[in-house]
Amino acid sequence: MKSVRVRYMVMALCIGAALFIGIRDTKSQSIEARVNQIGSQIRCPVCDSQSAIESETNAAVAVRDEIENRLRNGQGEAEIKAYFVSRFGQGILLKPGTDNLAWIYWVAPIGAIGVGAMIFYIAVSKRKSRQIVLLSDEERSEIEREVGRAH
Amino acid sequence: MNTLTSRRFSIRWTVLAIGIGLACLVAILATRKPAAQIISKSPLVGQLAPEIVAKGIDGKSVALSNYRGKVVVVNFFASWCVPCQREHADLVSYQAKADKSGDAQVVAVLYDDSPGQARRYFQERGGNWPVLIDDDGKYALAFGVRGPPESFLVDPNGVVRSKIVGEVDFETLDKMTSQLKQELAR
Repeated sequence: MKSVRVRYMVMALCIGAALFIGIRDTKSQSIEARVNQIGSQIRCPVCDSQSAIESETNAAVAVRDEIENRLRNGQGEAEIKAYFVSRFGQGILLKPGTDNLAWIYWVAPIGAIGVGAMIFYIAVSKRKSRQIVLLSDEERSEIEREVGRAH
Repeated sequence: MNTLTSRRFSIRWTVLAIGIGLACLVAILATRKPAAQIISKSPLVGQLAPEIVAKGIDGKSVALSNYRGKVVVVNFFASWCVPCQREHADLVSYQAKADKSGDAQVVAVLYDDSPGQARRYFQERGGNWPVLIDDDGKYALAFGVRGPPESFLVDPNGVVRSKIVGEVDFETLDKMTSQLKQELAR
């Protein structure tokens, strides 16, 4: 009877240990996966176009550590991304969000082309209206006669 | 005035206008600040400066908030960085003036560099301000630093007022500090 109890206890301990190890691994794996997922959207601060996951610079490692710490403290993806934006600006995100003035970047070139075309049109039409009109011999002699009379 | 004279007249004016425009452009380019120094638009400007509590290269622990009541220049630097080497003498002059007035302080944070190298750097070049160690780069991250040198002007209330990307010079720092003091005195 006693040996059966010991067996059950050992079995329960084994199951408990297995569950604990299993849960711990899953948790750490999921944090690692989330660090990768968030880090792949954040630009490495000292690189041109690499994400914090792709780069091995100290700055990229610091970004990854910061993401991990924040995840462990219960922060979500949006909060973590907002933190980096609050320090570096929208440019730290590989796909930056749009700001309120983003429409200017689209409208300004079209507006500039329109204004340029208008200026060109006005300049050309003014030039046309100023074209030299050559006088005929008759007209010239008439003007000379009139001028002579006036003197 | 005939058409030919009027055309000659308008060409002369056009050439003159282009000349004046070019002269203005040259004047602007010649008098503007060097591209090595940019007053940057950081999202931190107007916000409370992130707290730094770190060990200095002299082994003493320092907190940035200990300097409340003074204008603080938080300078991220590295001994291997050439613009940092160039700006160092200006920081020494700024700190010397600040020591006399007692209302400003430089606090340096080591960026991607070893304390040993930084100690040698300060022995060779002088400078008596705290140099804090940022081993894991978390303070550089908290200030949004992309690379040295970057400096932040923090007002006596602990609010970041400016971010300067690139080397700083004595005149700029002194002017910015005076402006800040005047602004706060109003």
